[in-house]
Amino acid sequence: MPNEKNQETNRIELSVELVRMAQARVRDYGVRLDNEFARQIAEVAVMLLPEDLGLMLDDGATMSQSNVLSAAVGVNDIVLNGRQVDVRPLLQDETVAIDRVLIGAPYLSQGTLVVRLDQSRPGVGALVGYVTPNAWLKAEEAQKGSDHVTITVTLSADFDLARTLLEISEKPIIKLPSISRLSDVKAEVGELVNNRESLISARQKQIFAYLSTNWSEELLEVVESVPVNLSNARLQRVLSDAALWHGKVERMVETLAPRFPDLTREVLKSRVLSAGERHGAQLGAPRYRRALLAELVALELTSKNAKNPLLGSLARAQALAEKVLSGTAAVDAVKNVIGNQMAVDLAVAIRKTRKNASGLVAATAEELGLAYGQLALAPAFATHSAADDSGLESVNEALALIEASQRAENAKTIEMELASF
Amino acid sequence: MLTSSSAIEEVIALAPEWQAVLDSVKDSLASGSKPRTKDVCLADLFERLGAKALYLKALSLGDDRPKFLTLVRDHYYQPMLSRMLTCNQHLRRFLAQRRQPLDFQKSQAVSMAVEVSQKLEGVLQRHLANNSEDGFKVLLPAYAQRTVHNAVVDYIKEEWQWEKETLQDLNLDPEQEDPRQNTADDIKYAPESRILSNEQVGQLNQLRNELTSMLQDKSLAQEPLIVVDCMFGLGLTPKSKPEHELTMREVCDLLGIAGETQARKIARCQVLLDKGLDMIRTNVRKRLPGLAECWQTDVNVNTASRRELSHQLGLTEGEVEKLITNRQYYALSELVDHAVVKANRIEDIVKNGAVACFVPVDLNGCTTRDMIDILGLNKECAQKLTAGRPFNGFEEALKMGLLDNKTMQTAIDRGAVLKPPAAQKSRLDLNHATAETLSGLNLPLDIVKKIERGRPFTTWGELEEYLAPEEATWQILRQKTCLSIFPD
Repeated sequence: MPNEKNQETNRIELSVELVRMAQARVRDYGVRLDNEFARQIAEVAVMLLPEDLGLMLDDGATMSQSNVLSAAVGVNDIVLNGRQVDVRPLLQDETVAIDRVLIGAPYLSQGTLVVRLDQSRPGVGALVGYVTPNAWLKAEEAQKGSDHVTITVTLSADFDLARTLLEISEKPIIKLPSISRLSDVKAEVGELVNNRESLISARQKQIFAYLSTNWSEELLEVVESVPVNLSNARLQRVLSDAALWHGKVERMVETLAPRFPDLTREVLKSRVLSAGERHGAQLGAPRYRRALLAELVALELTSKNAKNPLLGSLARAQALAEKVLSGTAAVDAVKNVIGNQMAVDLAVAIRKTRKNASGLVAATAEELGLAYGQLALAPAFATHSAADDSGLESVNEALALIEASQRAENAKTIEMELASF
Repeated sequence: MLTSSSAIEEVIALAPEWQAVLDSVKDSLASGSKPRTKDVCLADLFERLGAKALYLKALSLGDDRPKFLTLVRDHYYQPMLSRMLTCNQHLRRFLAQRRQPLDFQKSQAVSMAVEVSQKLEGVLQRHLANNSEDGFKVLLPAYAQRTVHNAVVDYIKEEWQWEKETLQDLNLDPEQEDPRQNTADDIKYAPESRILSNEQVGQLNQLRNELTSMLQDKSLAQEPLIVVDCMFGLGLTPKSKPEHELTMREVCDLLGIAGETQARKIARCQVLLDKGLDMIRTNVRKRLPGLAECWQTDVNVNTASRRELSHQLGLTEGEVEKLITNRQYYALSELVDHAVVKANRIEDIVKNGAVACFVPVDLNGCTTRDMIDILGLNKECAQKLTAGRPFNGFEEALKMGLLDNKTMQTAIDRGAVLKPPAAQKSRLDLNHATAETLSGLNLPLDIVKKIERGRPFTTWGELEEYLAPEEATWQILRQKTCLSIFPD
């Protein structure tokens, strides 16, 4: 037998695979795990009774097949010889609780079987008691206001499962005429599932009573087609993803902070977050890391040279850094950005003479003179640019951009590190 | 069903005394309140006769017994078992989780019914041979019901085991059909699949702002929100660390939740968690109406199989080929840029659940098929890489001549990464470790076996719920293992 019954304690142990499938249903649809265990244990308990008692289950007639209703109102029934019987786990304080909406509907007309679950062994438990439908009605009367109704179960040592089930199965099946009609079943179930707080209790009960009275395979299909707006399971998935994403962001900021000392953690974090909104959460994706690093390099350079009007726009510096990070040589990338190629050559010559150009990007007259000499361009360049200083501006701009592209070159090493994110 | 009038004639020939019963069945069907929808079939007759009558008849038959038993198998057991198996919730759920279409689910139920009916016929034969007094019980529907339950559980166990064994084979032959297409959704939670699109990230950034505001709003109950923060590892309050998911038990200890027993503390924690989730849900519905929609899409065009692309997204064969050739995409609009589909098709594709999330593909761990279908490597190159791994870096693969510079750059641009093997082993991955390595952590044998049977696990909470381990065991698991989703 895949499910073992301990004769002494009447306990039933579900197989590991059934436990995992129950967990998967909980995760996918947001039903309650204890309910799942309780119902499955009740099913096995019925099947383990002597076959000549004639106790037959009908899986196809249960409302608990519905993921939507199981998650929204906690339906959790078995159908025994054509009679729908609710099943509940016994809570820690020897009580059982159900959603108020179930009370009074045909769903609960055969009462509730109570299962005690073993807290230290998931999927292990025993059927230990029974709550009559009348007890639920009385409890509902006594407990106003809450969505759930709770009953303290008096457990009897001589609880006879077979006798209880036979009594249930011998009760007449009373088919009540449908007291309520739903004009649009899908829409109204949608309201019950997604917007319950806007419905008064009586309306909620009407909707559920209709479903319970008319339950069929066709109705099951309709109910399952109701889109659930942010089910418990989906919300948990979102929160779990949120934790992963923000953890990644924090780790990314940790990695970047020492590499970009001029940028605050807040700036780094906001850039990582917004890059995610453009490229998704895979921080290791080539396009993500290149775009992010280009942005940070440009930002850093701007912050270092805040008072330097020659640096040009942030977007331009960023475009340049992106080119370098994609593999273009620094000087070629700068030539691509500013049309004046001579200015770039001059800037390169000037940089060669500098030992430390960080933050000092404007060329001095002396540096420029030396560069003219080195490139043997002095007469032509000086003549053409002397009038409006545009030559000098171009050189200074090229210097700034070369600085940015050099920084981007250095960032390439960081890029490889980020690939593992 | 196999019923035919000749089958009824055969039975009546073997048991002429049942003619009266048959007539009575016909009468009751004809006079039923409901309109008659079918002819009388042998199953109706057998059902009316009941288990004892069938058994006694079989006992009384000599040479004709095998013929009679065949009729019982085909016209009594099979229809009854088919009905039971078609409705069986475990079987339906198991196959549905594996995205098996409804017609396959039905045909699987029918083929199991045939198999189980043969087994039951064998059991019946043994009882008849032994002349057992209570042999008729084998014919009782309740007996068949239990047999069906056991058969389903056995089937699930075997299939589960097969999946685990197959999925561990990462060097799948690209010529074979990918068995992952038919496995449970659990595998979607594997770390490489835990990916988020740019739209989702946008929603998560806004959600974080909302949660921060809620935690600052003193008019709201704070304890439920703090429980949510700690359980999911959102890192919003001082006691919660980002990405460090906690179980109920851990949250009870951390927050000092009151209760006489551990179980009561956990029950209280569950109440707080439910309340916190309700508060967040209400807020999200009001303030972030687009969030739920963003998590409804589930076919990533970068990793989807050919079957998913054609069946679920409705792409043509040509479109599928183009899509695979140009992988990976950062946004669905890039499908138009690469002329995979026309712009007017994007809306339909989105409606069918498509999303574009870039996925890193670790050459040390991915399948050969992924190297071909996602990274665009040719089959020969992919197979050589699979045979040559693990690699400590791309340079090693270059030196070994398994990749050239151009191919490597293309593969990197399409998502190839190389996680050095040593980095993966700092903590034992519970979802993949062998029984021997798990035992090496001094875990009790029954726990090791249970882990093996139950994995993969998505969260620590799920694992704790499943194992309910002793404190010492739990500490070992928490300190020395990981679930391959969270970084060390």
